[in-house]
Amino acid sequence: MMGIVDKIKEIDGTKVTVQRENRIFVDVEKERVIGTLYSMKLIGFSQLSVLSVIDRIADNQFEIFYVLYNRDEKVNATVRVWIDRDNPVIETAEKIYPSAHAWEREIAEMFGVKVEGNEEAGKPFILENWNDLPPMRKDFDSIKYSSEHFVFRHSEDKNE
Amino acid sequence: MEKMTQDQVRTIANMLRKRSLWMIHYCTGCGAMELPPTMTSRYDMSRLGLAPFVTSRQADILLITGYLNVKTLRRVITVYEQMLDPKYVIGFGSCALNGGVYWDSYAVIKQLDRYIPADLYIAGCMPRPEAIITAFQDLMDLIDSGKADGYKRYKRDLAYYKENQRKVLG
Amino acid sequence: MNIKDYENGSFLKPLASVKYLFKKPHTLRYPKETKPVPDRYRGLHINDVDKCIGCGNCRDICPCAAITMADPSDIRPIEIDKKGANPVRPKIDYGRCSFCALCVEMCPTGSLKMSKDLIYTSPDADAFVWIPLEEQGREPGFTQSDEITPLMLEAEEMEELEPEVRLKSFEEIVHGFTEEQARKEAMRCLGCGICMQGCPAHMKIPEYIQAIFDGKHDESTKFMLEDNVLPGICGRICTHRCQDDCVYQYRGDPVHIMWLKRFATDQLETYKDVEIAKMPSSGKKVAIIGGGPSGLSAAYHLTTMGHSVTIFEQKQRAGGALATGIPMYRLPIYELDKEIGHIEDMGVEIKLNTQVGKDVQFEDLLRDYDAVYIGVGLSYGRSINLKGEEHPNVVQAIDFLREVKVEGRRDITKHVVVIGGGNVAMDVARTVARLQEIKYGSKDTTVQTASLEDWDIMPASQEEIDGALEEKVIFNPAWGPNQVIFNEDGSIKGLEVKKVKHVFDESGRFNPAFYEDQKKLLEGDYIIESVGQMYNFEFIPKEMLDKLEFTPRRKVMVDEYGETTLPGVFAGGDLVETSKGDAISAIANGHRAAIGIDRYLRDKK
Repeated sequence: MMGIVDKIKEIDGTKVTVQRENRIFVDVEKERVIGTLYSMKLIGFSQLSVLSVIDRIADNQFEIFYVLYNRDEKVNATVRVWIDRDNPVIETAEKIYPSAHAWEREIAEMFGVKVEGNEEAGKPFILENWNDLPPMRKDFDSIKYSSEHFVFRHSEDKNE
Repeated sequence: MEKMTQDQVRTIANMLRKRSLWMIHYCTGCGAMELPPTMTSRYDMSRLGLAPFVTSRQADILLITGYLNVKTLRRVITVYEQMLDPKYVIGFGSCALNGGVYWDSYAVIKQLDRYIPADLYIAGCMPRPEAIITAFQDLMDLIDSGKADGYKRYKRDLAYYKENQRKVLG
Repeated sequence: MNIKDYENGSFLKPLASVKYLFKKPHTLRYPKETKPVPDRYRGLHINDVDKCIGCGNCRDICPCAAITMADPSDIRPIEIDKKGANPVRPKIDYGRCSFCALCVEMCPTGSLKMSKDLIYTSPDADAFVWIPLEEQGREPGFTQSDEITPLMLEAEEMEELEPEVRLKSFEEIVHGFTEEQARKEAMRCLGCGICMQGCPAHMKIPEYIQAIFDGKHDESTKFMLEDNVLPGICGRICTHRCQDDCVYQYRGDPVHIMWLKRFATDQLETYKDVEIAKMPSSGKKVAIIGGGPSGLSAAYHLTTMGHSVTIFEQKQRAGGALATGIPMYRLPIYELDKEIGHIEDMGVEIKLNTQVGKDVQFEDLLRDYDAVYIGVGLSYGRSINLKGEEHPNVVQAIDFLREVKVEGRRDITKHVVVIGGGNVAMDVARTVARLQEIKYGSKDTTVQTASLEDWDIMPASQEEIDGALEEKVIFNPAWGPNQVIFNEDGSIKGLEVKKVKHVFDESGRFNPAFYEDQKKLLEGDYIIESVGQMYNFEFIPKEMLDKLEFTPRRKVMVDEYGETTLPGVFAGGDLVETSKGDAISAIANGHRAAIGIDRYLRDKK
C-alpha cells in the first residue's frame, strides 16, 4: 500500500518535508497552488483548517500557507507558497475548499493580499473604516497608529 | 406627602434603586471570565440584589468587561443608548482606564470615559470576583449618595461624547 | 442514578435533598467571608523606596509602558544623595499594568514586590496612578527569587594565569574575554546607566556595551573615545568605580565593564578606522606639560576641538605613570604604544626628553602658546623621614618601578621589605616577587609589606591584595615603620616596625598613633618606600609660583573648568584630584580642562 507521503510526492512540482509522522510540509510554486490543493483533496485531505499569511519582510515575500487535514490517515499537511510582497496576488481556493472563503477575506483585509476569484475578498470584514496599511503587515507601526487615533490618559508624563 | 420636597423623593428613590440592580449580560472583553463565578453559586451576587439580565431596555448596569475595540464600541454605544435612565457603567480593569496591555493596539480604544460616561472603575487585569462585588457595593453607595450620575452627564455633555465617538467610528 | 431507580424507589426519596440543609454552603459570602489568597499572588505593587535606587529597569522592562519614574519627595522624602542612585521612584499607572510582575523579577535591588491585595475601586479614573510605598500597608505577595530569575546574576569567569606560572615572567595576568564570553557578559547589562555616575569620566557605558553585544567593536570604541582617550589602558588598570555602582551588586556579581572595554579595544589593531568628529582648525596653540593620562586626555580633546597641541614630556616615553609606574604584568607596553600612537595620529605633537625648566622655559611657553596645561602629576616619591633612609638600599617605589619597567632592571636582593599598603605598594611587592622568582627561583626569598592600615581599611584594591597573597607576599598590616636597623658592616638588617593604635583620629583626619612598646623587626636587606608621591614645581618661576594658590590639602586650586589662579594656565590630573588619584580621574579632569581651555581660547578672541 502506498503511504500518504508518497502520494503527495507524486503530485507535480511539490517539495515534501516530513517533520513528524503526521506533520508534513509541502512547498509549491505559485502557479501550482490550486492544482496541488485539488490533488490533495483527491487523496483525502478533506478539510482546510487554516489559511493564513506570514510576512517574510526580510525577503520581501509573503508566505501563504494552507493547513489541510486528512481525517482517515490523521495527517496534517501544510501547503506553503511564497509570493511577491509588493504584488501579492493569489487565486482563490474556495471552489475546492468552501471554508477558504472567509479565510481569504481575512488575509485580504489584514495583509492586503489580492484574491482573484473571491468576489468578497477586499470588502470590509472585521475592521471598520480602515484607511491605513493592512494592520498585520510587519511594516505597520501599531504604536504610531494608536497614538494618532486614540488619546492616552496622562500621556504628558510618558515617553510615548 | 405634600410636604415632601423633590430632593427627599429622589433620596428615597435612590435608596430603593440600589437594592435591585439588573446587570445586562453583555461582555466585551476577557474580564467577562470573572463574571460566571460572581453570578453563580460561588460568589452568588444575587445576595446583593443583583441579577444578570438579557435585554438592554430592562437593565440598569452596563459592565465594560475589559478592552473595547472600535467594532464593539459601536455596539456598546447602541446598547447604552437603548438602556433607560437611570443607568450605570462600570469599567473593568486596566483596559477601560488607559488601554492596559492593549495600549499599543490599532483596534482598542484607550479611554472608556471619552465615549460613554463611567461611574466606577475597578483596578486589576482582570479584577477578582471579590473586587467585582466590592465594586457593586461601592456603586450602591454612589447611587445612594446620588453621585452615580453618569447618565446625566451623558445628556449634558452629549456633544462632547458624540464628537469623540465620531472621531473613531467615522 | 438512572430513571429506573426513581421508578422503583419510594416517594419519600426526594426527601434525600434535605441533607443539603446541614451541609456547609458552597457560596462564599464575600465580604463577610474571605478566601485565603495564594502566597505568590500578584496584586498591587509595594516598593521599599529606601532600598530602591531609581535605576529605571522596571520602567524599561514593562511591556505596557505603565511605569514612569517620578519624584516621590512630596509623598515620602527619600535620601537623595545615595551613591549609585537616582532620586526618582517608579510610579505605576494601573490603567496600564497587566500584573505580569516582570518589573518585580527584574528589580535589581529587590525593593519592588507585589502584594496580595487586588481590590481597588474608584469613580475617578485619574486615581489609578500612584507611587507604591511600603507605608500603604499591603500584605506582601509575589517576590523575586534568585533561583528562577530572568537576570543572569553570575558574571563570566575571567581566565587568569596561575600564580606559579605568572611569577616566572612579566606576562599579562588576565587573558581577556573571548568573543563568546564578551557577548554573554554584555548581554547581562541592563542598560540603566547607573554606572555612568560612578565613572569620573561619565563614559557612555550602556551604549558601548550594547555595541559590543551587537559585535560592532569600532562603534563601541567610538563611544569610549568620546570621553576616555585611553580605553584599552583603562580596560586593564582602571579602578572601575562603575562596577562598584552596577545594579547587579545587590543580587549578584557586577557586570565586568572594565574587561568588556578591554575586549572591544583589543579587537581593533588601531583606532584609525574609528570615526571621530574633528572640528576645523582654530589656529590656536596649546602647550601641555607632562604626557601622563591627564595631559594626553587634554591634548586629544583639544585636538578634536581644532587646536594644535604640543606635549612636553620629560621622560623618554609618553604615558606618565602608565609608562613608568604600572608593571608590565598589568599593562603591557604595546597597549600604551597603540593608544598613544592613536593620539599622535590625531595630530598631537609629543616632544619627548624635553624637561620644562631646563630644555624649555615655562615663561617661553606662556609667551609662545595661547594656553598652558600643567599635568605633571605626582612624579616624585614622598619620603617619610625614616631614620636611616639615606642608605642606597632604601629606595622610592616610583624609581624602582621605573627602573624595572623602562630600564629593564632585573637584580634584586633575597629579602625585601615594602613600606605601604596602597596599589603602588602591591605593584612593588608583586614586581619584587617576580624578580626574585626569575633570579633565585623563589628559593629562600621573602618579600613583605608593612602598612599602617589594617586589612579592613587597606587602600589597595581587593584584587591586588588577593593577587599579592597568591604570589606569597607576606603582609604586616597595622605595623608602622620606625627605623632602619643596620648590621655592623653597614648593610641593612631590617626594618623596625611598631604596632599601630589607630590611623585616623576621631575627626577622621590622617593622624597615626602607635603603641611604642610593641615593636618587631622585619628582616630584609632592601627597603622600598611606597607611601605616596609628590609634585615638583621647580620649573615654575618663583614669582609665578607665589601667585599659584593651593587648597588646604596641598592640591592646586582650580575652578570647575580646571583653570588655576594664573590666567591661561590650567591644571589637571593628580595635581588637582582629591579622590583616589587613579588614571580615570586624571583622564576625566584632563577632558574637563580641555573644555575649559577651549572656552578660554574662544573667549580670548
